[in-house]
Amino acid sequence: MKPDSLFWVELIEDLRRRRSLVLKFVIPVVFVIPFMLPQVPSAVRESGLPLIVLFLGVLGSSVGLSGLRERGMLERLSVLPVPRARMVGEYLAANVSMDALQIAAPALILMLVFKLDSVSAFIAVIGLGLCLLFSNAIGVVMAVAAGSSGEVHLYSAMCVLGIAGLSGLFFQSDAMSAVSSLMPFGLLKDGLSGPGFARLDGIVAPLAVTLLIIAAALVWSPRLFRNKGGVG
Amino acid sequence: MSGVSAIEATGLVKSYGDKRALDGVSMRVEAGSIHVVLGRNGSGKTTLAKVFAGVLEADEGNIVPGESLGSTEGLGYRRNVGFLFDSSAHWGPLTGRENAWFFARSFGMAPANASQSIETIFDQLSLADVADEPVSTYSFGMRRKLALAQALVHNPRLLILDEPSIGLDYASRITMYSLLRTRVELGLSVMIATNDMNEARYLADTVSLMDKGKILVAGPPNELVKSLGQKTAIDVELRTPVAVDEYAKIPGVQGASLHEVRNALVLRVLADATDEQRVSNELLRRLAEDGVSYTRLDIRRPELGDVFLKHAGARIA
Repeated sequence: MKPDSLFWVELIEDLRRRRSLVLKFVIPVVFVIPFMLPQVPSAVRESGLPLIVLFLGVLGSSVGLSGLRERGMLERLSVLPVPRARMVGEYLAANVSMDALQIAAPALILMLVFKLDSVSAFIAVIGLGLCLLFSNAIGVVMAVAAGSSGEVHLYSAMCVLGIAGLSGLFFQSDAMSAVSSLMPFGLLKDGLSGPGFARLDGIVAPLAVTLLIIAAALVWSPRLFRNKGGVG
Repeated sequence: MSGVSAIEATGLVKSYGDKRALDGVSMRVEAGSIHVVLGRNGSGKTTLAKVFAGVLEADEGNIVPGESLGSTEGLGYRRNVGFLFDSSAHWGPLTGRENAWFFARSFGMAPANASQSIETIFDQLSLADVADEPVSTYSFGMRRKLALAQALVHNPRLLILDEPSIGLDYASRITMYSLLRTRVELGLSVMIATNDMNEARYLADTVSLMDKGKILVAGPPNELVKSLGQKTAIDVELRTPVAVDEYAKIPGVQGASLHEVRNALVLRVLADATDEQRVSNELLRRLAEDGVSYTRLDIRRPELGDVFLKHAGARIA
């Protein structure tokens, strides 16, 4: 397989890093085990998967992009006659694909354990897809905003906690329900909660918000390639 | 050299905060030639190379690419330019061939042309044996050669190299120099930013000496050296003192003096570069005739470094 685009380069690179690949697939499975236990309150157990996706997406994309920038890879890519937003789009697509592979098994296990009906399962799958896109796009935004890898970790961690709170992953209140209904993580949580929580018309708002965040990430992303320079 | 401009810059200014990296730089790279920008660390060479490559935008000034390069505004310009950065980032788990393939295809090459071009350039740079090994197993020098291959793989019309010989052994440098010369004969225009005087002497059709964001002087290296009007110094390390005046009378000698250098006595004789061989032969013959024994003979010709010192010397801290 010869990599013709950044999408394939990133995917092949991820698949060839064997040690990190094993960890990438093992950690999500281990992380969801506590959320499958029957003693866990139902308000908490549906938050596990959205939280993992949020962490994986935001930190994976932001730290990865920041690493590419710090080792000079983005600068090298900036000489290519390829629009910079397209390269970031390909990077985003590769990360979302890898995250989807990582999360597929734990997500399937949880859906089976939670015995979801078909509508809830459908909403959970759509929610999961939107969460992957949303969190990775936020990761791109964090990488653009941060000046160094240290800042990227800090901003990403703060962002993850903020989004988790707004999505009602820690606790749910009436005052916050309007905000959480806009977030894909809220949608995924509702899908995992089963009948009575998930509604098909609840997909529209998170879908729109996710598309908005992706658009913002792509519009802003060419800044990643800017040379911050130094006299030389 | 063709006399046709490959790319020309006028009045480039670029600042990082209060620090001015380029301070009104005007420069012209002739098509089918090698133009070396020579300067110390921090003189602004890399910034200039990046501005030429379109990686950085100048705050002021203009860049006018030659007709074959296209406007700097569009992606077409990037397709015609190859750039070697002073750092060599690659995807370690991917092979050298895969890294080069991605660049070739991103530059718009058809698969068959990309394959052919990679084969050729990997052969020329002695990378063929390791082409299918992960780049993470490459030495630093091999990575530099791979970066050069990536800059050349799409057959650019203008090649910009920033410190190209960092990390390369002597044989690899000579291979690279020879490859560049061959490509230049086929019409490639090259701009090199370096602090290596030997590289400039070996490669340059034109040298621009740069310091503190300004081009101090530019021209063919031989003419720059000639413009110094300096003489060749013939230094002879003696075992015993001599009467300097006698040697100053040798025809062609334009000055003679005796110095003590690191506890050794050195007779320094100055001559025109065109006459240095005859003068040094005559000097050695006279020394032998006078029974003066010597331990060492050095001939020091004026070089680009002297040109640099003349123009920037007053500024060296």
